Amino acid sequence: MTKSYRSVSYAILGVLIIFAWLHLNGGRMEFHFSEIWNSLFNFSDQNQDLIIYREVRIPRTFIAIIAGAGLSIAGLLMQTLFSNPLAGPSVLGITSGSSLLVAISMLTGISFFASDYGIVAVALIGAVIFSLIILLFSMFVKSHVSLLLIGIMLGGFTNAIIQVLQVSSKATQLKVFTLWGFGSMQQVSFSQIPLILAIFGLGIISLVFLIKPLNLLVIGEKSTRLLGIQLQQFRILIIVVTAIFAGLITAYCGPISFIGLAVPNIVKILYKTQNHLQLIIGSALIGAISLLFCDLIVLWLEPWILLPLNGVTALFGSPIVVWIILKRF
Amino acid sequence: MIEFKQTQIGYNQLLINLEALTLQSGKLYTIIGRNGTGKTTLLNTLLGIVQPIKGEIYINQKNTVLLKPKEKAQLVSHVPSLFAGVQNLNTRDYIAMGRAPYTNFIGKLSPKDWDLVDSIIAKLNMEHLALKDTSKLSDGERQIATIAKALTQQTKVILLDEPTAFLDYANRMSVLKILKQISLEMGVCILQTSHDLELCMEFSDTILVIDSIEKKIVPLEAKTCLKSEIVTIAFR
Repeated sequence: MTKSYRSVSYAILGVLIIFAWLHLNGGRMEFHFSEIWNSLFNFSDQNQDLIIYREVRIPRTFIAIIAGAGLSIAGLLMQTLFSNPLAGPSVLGITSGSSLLVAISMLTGISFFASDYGIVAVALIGAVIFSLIILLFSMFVKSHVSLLLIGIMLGGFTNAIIQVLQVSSKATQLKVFTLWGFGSMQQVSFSQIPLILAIFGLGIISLVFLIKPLNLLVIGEKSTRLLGIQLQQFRILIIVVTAIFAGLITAYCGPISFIGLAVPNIVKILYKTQNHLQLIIGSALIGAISLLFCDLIVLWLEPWILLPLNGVTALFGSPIVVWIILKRF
Repeated sequence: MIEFKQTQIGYNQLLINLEALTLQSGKLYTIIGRNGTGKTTLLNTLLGIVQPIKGEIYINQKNTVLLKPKEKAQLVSHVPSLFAGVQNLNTRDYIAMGRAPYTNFIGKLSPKDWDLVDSIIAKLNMEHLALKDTSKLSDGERQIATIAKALTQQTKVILLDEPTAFLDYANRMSVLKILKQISLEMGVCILQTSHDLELCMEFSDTILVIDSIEKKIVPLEAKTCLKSEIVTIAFR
């Protein structure tokens, strides 16, 4: 059991490294070790190659890995918490919460929120608020489908407000927001990497405390409680960690759908386990691969057409989700 | 050992009034009563999901109201009437979940924990099922696996909520035989609810009949009482 888990994980890690390398070199299999090294540690703004790596390619690959891993882990947490294989940060409206607050700060031009920290902060707050709303609803609705529908309605509701904001906003603000809404890995600069890493790291460290309750939650909430787990606290913590991942990524990459929903299901099929330590590692690896792959397609087609990333994730994600529904329900 | 002291059980209105009742270790008790007379509420009160309206309950001389969830999980375990199985969760890992009240925050099991899990699997003759997916077990196998999980919890009290409700006759027999064996060999106090009068009279030590009119419990010796006696109290 653990043996197959190890070999599968190493194989996946190998694929991840290949994809990351391809992505880092603009979609081509080239080996510019010295440029990458120098762009990181001996940077000079006279050398154009170094500037490309430092300001464009390294941040883009970095955020694709972080976003793919984070969204997939967030999806896994939601699926286990609500014992629903179709749950995920975008389906349940958590991403919508971030989008709404980001839209308010981008489109109304309140300068307090326009800074880097401001956008991240409002995206996190939006994600937390909407997660708590979903958690509250989950205590009253018994059916899995109802909760998903409530999440989709939350998304519809926020979209309506965003559209009203869009109509009444200035052209420049509207352009910035629309590009953000397409989803993109190109909005992160080198100097933002430490902040992103710090917040992402906080989420990862919190996961350590969640593995035991997550492992037990698969047999139901009542049974988990009767095994001595104080579920109220953990439910909130699971929701907050999900919101950290979803909010952080939405702030920097826009609302990216399908990754958080599809990847954990693929991981469960590959790993055949309910051990959440393994599922979290698998989701992080396969999530990173999936988003790198989608962004590679964007990169490869760039000379001819500028694809929105959200279009690509949906193109691959929606058939996978339909396949999961056919298989599980 | 469970002791009720002037305990009143119910959600908002009184269902059962227990002046004084002691349930001994090493015995199998079956609660018989009409639907809605408080069987499940009684179990839920013992589990701490519902608080007693009045009075106290002691499990092994410990007042249940004052226990922390983890301490309670080391004293009382619970078997629901149905565990539907979980895809990709194998039987051995499921049974091992019973160790959760004893592990630290990461939940990693020690080799000693795994030895205990395997010895219980062996005791219940489930070795051939250990690596099988819980979603692929039969209803009877799943119920026995849940009992095994309760045993790995090493509690002095095991509560079962209609454990045979979804099983065929042969599986009911084997579940009750296992419960009887556990109570005798391991000195556990087992309390189950059931609608299965005949079988429970055969295997239980004491039948606790709920008298819904007087709102009290009448304990009857399973070996010596008559079926008609139970029926007149429970279903009059």
